[in-house]
Amino acid sequence: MIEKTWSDLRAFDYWPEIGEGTLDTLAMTGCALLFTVIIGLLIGTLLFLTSPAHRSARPAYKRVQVWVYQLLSFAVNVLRSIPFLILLILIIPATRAMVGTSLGVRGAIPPLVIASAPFFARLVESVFREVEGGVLETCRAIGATTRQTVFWALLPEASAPLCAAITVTAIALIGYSAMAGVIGGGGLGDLAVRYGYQRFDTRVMLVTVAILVLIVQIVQWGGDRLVARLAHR
Amino acid sequence: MLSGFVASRDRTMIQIQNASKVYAAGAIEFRALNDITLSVERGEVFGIIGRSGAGKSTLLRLINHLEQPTSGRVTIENCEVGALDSKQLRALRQRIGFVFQHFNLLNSKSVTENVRLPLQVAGRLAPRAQRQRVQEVLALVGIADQADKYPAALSGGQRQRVGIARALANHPDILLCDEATSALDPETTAAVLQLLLDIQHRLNLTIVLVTHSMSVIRTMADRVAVLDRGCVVESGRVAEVFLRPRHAVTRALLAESGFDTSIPPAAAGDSLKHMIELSYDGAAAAQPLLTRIARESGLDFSILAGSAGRLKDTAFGRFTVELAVQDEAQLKRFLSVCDAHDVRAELQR
Repeated sequence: MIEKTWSDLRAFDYWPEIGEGTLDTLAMTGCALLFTVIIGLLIGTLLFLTSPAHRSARPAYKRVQVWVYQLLSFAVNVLRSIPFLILLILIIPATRAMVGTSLGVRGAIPPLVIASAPFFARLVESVFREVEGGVLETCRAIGATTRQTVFWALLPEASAPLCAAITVTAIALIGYSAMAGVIGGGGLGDLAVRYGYQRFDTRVMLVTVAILVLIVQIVQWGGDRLVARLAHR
Repeated sequence: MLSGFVASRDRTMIQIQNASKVYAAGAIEFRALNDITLSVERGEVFGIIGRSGAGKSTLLRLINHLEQPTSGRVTIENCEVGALDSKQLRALRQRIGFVFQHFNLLNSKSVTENVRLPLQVAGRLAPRAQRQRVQEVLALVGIADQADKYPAALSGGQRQRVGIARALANHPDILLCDEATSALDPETTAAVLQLLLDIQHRLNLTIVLVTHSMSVIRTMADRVAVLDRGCVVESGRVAEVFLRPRHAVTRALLAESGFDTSIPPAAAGDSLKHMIELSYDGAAAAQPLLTRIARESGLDFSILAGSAGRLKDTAFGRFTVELAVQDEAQLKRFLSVCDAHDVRAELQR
């Protein structure tokens, strides 16, 4: 039994593909994470600043706030209610328009971002709400602009929980990126589907899973370390 | 006549006129503040006292428009706050320090960075000058040695000192304190109040402070307004309000702080025994008044209750005495002697 496993592993000659798949997965996840964080922070901050608790006393401002909040909130909810696999297929034309292809690493990034940015935006909104505790009032009392409030107080104050939220999102993205493999997205998921599922090669499946577990562990560990460093408690 | 008017206008720092604040939740309206009018003079410490929910914090926040009044207006140095655009309002707020009950420090920033924040926001000083100013105010509040620590590493009293330093960073003319010592233990409270008094003296600040504690008013304030369910029920010089409270809420607040104003129960129903409340403050309090009154009126009395002490920087005394007289003339003589010594005498019965 052991001998058989050993000989199987020795005969396992997919290491180049595995290596390439790993790099592709990292590239997809990393790239998608970057855009997700940028877009999600923007949307999350807007959601927070226009949410019912922070409405302006000036009627004109308030109308704009209500409008922006409802629009963003609706869009976020819609995107979050579509299962990722369906979203992948649904937006193929948009993906082609954006990056020229719906396949490979490049083709996977737009759907990944579109699926995870709304998720991350909601996390940002709730992180801000959690961390708030007088920060906004203080900033108002010292005469800060909204921009100063966000960049000098809210973001620094939320840096640790935001880092935790980015970790959660990164791990979700690793999972999503494997799913992107189903429609030819490249990466470890693609490898697992093609070799592990379609060719019944359990070894590829197992190695793929092991690498994914390892990546997730490393990301979580790194995220936790960073959170601990940022939290001055 | 006119010059007198102008002078009195100039002494006024903050003026609140007929201000009301109504919160509407659907059809239900809640009047947090009801037609408040008061003015705060330059360089004075003005106290606002009331129970929780009386509207004190809302009233304080009207001053720098953290809350907008539903009606009425707020004027600071002859400038109507409600008429300012958002840029002017930010500039005004930069000149008004605000000290919060729960300090509201940013946990992600060091003491230095916290105090520097209002300077960065104002953007008038170069970074180097900002750092210098931070050191100055930290020294002023006595925590220069904690500059590089984070709020989590500080005690409550130290955190509030950081809060005060932050409020002072931009050289404000006005300091608004919202229950600044309510989250602190008695010993720390005394130290922080002393610090505030000291700073107020040195910088000639105008301070408006909100509290539910009479002892804070007693140590800090020159004048006080008592707030109850959104209305000012009593206001005036602290000594006046302390010695001769008129409203039930004021009496209750005084009683809670061990400053009982209730009249002791009557002795036997002797019609020629009078219960009189004697009160005095200011220069009169330096004299041996009670014995002098007894000697000059030739009447003996017994002290039933009372206290003497200090309110900020005035001494005061208040005693309920029982006086036995033979006729009305004696009583009149007693009262006129009191009057001659600037002692307010109120016949209780």
